[in-house]
Amino acid sequence: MNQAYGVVAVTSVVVASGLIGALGLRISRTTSDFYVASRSVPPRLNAAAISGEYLSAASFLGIAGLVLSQGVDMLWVPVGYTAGYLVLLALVAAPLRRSGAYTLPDFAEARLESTVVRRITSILVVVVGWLYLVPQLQGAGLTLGLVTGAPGWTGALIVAIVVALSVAAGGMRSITFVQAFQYWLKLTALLVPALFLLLAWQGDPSARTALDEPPAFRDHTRVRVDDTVRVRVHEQLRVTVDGTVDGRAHQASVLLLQPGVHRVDTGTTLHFPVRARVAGRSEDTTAPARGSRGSDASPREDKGHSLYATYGLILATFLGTMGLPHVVVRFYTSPDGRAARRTTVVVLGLVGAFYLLPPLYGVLGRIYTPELLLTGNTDAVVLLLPERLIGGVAGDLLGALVAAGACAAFLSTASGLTMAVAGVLSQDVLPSPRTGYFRLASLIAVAVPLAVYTLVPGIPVAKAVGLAFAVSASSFCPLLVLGIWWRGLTAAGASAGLLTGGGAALTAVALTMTESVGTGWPRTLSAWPAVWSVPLAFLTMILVSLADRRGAPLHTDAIMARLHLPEPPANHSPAARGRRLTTDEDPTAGSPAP
Amino acid sequence: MTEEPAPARAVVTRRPTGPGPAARPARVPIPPGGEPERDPETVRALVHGQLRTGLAVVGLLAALLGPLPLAFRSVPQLGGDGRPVVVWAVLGVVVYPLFVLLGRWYVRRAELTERRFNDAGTRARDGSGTAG
Repeated sequence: MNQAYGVVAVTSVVVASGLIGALGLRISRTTSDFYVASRSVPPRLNAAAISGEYLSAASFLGIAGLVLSQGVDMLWVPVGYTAGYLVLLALVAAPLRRSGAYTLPDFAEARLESTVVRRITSILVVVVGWLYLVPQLQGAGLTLGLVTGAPGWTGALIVAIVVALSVAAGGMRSITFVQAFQYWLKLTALLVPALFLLLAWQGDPSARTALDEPPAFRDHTRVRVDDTVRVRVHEQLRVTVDGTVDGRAHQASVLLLQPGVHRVDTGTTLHFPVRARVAGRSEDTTAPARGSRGSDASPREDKGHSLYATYGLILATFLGTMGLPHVVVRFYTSPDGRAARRTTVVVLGLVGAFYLLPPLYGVLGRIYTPELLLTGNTDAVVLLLPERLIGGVAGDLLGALVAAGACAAFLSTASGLTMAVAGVLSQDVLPSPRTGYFRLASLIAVAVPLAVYTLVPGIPVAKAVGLAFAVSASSFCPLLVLGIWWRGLTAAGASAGLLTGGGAALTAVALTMTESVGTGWPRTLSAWPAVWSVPLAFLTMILVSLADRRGAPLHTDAIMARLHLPEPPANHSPAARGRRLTTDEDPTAGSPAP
Repeated sequence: MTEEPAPARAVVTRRPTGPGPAARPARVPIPPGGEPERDPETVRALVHGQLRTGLAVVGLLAALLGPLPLAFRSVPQLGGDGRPVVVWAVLGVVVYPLFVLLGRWYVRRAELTERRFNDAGTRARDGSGTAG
């Protein structure tokens, strides 16, 4: 990748975001502006902002990487990311907006009249936010590393600083403009190179369909392994080895690899003949990194695992989207419930349009960059393809454009998450939601995931994001759905469900991230917890609430009315004015009404 | 005026009750005074109507997409690239417009329900003469 172009591209994204943010800052005056842009963002702008915020490094880089490494099954990832908004629209969008609360903890407290539930929700919001921030920083490290050649942590650090500064300075209003801009930038950054890539692919006589698996090397290919990997060879493979394979050192010797899993040590160079079927990394996410050779599951068992994993992915993404802290907070910026619904439909269109593109990169990657399978750096495929397939100045320019889009991806999601986490921190942990504390909170919100990133390197970006979805689906989804639709939910039930579901999913996540579960089903179950943890959370909430009949909040009727009653049409003046005044009120200026 | 010292704040266990500028803003905006009084039964009916629409969409989504992983797995190779191409087309392209259509249908239904509810409310108010 041409470094000069890349640096210019990334810098201009940061500068443009800063400028647009500063523009917003000049009109961001009150606390209400700061948190929710005074609830006046029209559907189209808000939808672009929501989409811009949502399309993270996991979408921009991760999906193509997953499609490259694991094939067609991974198309469920973008499908789930989009369908999550449909579920959100159908069950949550308008009532959530009408609840009039700023954050998920606000909602919990308003609905259940309990500070305990509020506390638990706050903690979970912060945890989910941090879980989601780590892979964003990882994407930043990867992109800036490829663009500038700097080590990963510098990229992550730079992005963390930029995000903390922009959130602390501008708050929600400026974020809205920045993120709407970033949606269009991301779409362009994938669309334009994709057109050129398709043309180049069309004109390539030797290209064959890449939908088959596994992909094959097109030319005689040399791959240097920078990081010890275990690779699975599907059929007998003749390679020339310079380095260590299966614990034995070789020097430019020809080796016949038998089908099965082989260990290739750091620094080894492999030379593959033309049309060799590419050896993939041995299921780097589901097989133990330091297990024995005998751990490979039988084909039938393997099939069961991957089917379970697919359903785990579907449940987590379909139900988890509604609880993502940065997604939820954006709905409060709509003027009313109707606008919140309409906004969501536009989001479905915008996000869906974007997701047509990343799989294309994954497929082309199977033809043109199969060596990434071996080095394991599959998240880089989007960034590498333009240079590989088009080359020359055009390739460099398109590469720079893609880098700019990737930069927008992690910047926007990281800002949104930081915003949401900082909002909760400043309201529930720090003493007063004045802007000074908000700024401190936004620093804390970024610093923690940055520390985690440097301590726990290297799970694939989209995979890590999946874990955040799973926790959200097993805690916030039941809270929101039952809270909005079931009058019988009590504070005790909600707390129990949040602790059981969220706790179980978090435990599974921790076990997965530290790789402390063995093999087979225990490992699969903890890597995809949503299938069991979501029903567990729902069941706990319902059963405990039923047992706690007297615990129903006092004002359930009033709150239910408020969540579901349509805002009166504007011409019914007394009621309309009353509502508009109270909800638009600057929260620091007014004293609570009796 | 200087800020209070930080350590003391970590152990706040209840919401501040005192008035004044330093008091926390109502985190949950106060129920609007002008909110039209509606009888709980009508509200309940509205909630049920909206829930039915919402569940219809989610149910449809589950019915359409839920069986796909199983189907894709159990259908034998349709010869050559047949199976993958179908899978790629369905999961890569077809589902997205479907989501938008489902979403639009939901919004239309939900707004219709609300319009009816509002109209009924207006009639009830005008009828009982409280509007004046």
